[in-house]
Amino acid sequence: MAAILSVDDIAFSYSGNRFIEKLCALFEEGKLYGIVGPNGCGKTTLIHLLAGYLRPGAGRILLQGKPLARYPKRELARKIALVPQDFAIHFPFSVRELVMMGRYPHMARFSPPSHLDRQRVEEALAATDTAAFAHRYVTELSGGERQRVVTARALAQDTPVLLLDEAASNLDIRHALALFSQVRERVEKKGVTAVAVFHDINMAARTCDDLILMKEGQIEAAGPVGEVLTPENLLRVFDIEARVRFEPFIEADQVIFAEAQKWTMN
Amino acid sequence: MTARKTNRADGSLPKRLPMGILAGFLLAALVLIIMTSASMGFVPVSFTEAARILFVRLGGLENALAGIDPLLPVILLEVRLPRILAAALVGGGLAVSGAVFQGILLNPLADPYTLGVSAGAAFGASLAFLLNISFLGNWSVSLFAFLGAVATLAVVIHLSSSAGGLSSNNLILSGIIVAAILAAGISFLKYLADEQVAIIVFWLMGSFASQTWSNVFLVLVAVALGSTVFAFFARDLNLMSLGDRTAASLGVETRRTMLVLLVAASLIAAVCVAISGIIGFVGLLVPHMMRVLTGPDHRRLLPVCLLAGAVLLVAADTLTRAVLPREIPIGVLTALIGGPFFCYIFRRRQMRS
Repeated sequence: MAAILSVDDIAFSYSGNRFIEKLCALFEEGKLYGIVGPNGCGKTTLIHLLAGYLRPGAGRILLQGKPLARYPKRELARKIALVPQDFAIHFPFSVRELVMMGRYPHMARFSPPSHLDRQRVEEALAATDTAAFAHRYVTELSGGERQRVVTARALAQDTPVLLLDEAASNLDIRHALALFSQVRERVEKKGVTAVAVFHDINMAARTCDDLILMKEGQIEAAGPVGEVLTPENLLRVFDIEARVRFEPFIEADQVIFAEAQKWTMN
Repeated sequence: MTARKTNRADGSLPKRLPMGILAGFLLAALVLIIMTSASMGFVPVSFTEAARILFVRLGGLENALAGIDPLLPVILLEVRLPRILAAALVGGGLAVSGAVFQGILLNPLADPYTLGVSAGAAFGASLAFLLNISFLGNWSVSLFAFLGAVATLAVVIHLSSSAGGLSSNNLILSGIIVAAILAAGISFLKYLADEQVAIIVFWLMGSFASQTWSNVFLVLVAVALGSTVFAFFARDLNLMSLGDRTAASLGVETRRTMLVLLVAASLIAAVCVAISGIIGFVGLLVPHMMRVLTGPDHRRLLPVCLLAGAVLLVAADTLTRAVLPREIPIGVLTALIGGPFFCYIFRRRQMRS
């Protein structure tokens, strides 16, 4: 398996404060990666660095062997799609119009959408269960519905790399599971590389191939879910006692955290 | 197909006019109002006479003017038409510029003057009046107004640019700060100006009186160039209106695009202010009204704004020039009509949400 994205010894600072330092990671084709860690550990920063939205202060990030910074934005948008954490939309675009914007990087500036563009949009609408309200204004949708629309736009972008920043934060459990099974399907059938930030560690455990545990701008542990999810790692990263057990009902490892007493005492 | 029907039944289907119909209607309205306006004024000209003079002029068939007072073509073509066309171009320019500002700044309250262009132009013009600068004849004031606007724009963009690029909030704040300083400066210039203060005050309120063909040509160039830039970036503007990060992840070179659009929109506003003074509310109101009809897609919104702004300002200028017993400054008129109307739209939106 070839690494499509490689993070090579990068550093990043917010207003002069070194936040991320000497961070390395490899992302292979056809795998689903989950990033997990406490608030403010740098999950979103890492996603934004991978998306090319933030530039590392040192080191480099290679996409198919070429530094991200060397790609023109439009070409990058054909390779990497991002589902951002905030999805406020100020103007009343219709849902279908908004999802069609995911095709803009593939369309010539003045040309109307092709048959393929329309087809990808319809697929993305179906995959996110948003086709039923494709004609409505995004501004009148609920938070969860709008989040699915924004996800649909990223799916319509049809890129080899898909980045999701807590894409399920406002979704009910049925839509959250459906979303990740759609992402899994793209990973398995199309060889897409997906990197997703999770706030729910058990959702990450049942969905991902590999996990990356982050703390204070550093990667504390990375590798296959079974290897990373250990009580020792979880205590180190979250500062809470935890047990990990295999749950046969969903055939995945799941984490049970202890009471948070110890943590509140500190 | 069933989903489509359900949507229509509960009324949530976006009700939008096809752009062709809307643009066609506005274009017809513009031609009609230009001809009507040309026939109205101190010297009465019938509508058919006005139409004949305008069309013959376009076609170049001088002998078809038989039976018309030879003074009328002069009045129409040298006095009224430059004024009417200047009003149309300024109206269209301000409206389209306002729509672009609202789109990139993600702020429905933005207008062509958000970055302090009007305050800069007013300061420049006041200075020209005060110092009695006239080395360029009638053009002196316009030139100073333009230079004031461009200098202000440069300062505001410089103030608000940071490592991360131009943020909407920084731009709006810088615009407000710089405009406040300039407003104090203008007050001081007025204080110094003694008897010339009336000239300054009148200029600031805006007017299309005594427009020349060269003014028309100047605004035409500015609006045409600006609109070409907007047409090229209209799709990117849609993405910019979703926010910086989304636009970047969908392939827009956000920093460059924002700068190009801001400069183009501000230059249109600067040229408009330089030749006609400060005319408010057109650039704020027209984009709002048109967005309701076209939706927020700038590829539809911008051309429609251009036409609607033109119709609106020609109508307003005709009202003050030929209908009202005494000409009141156009800037005052647009604010008097536009302000309450904006309150109405604003209130209605509050009730709905």
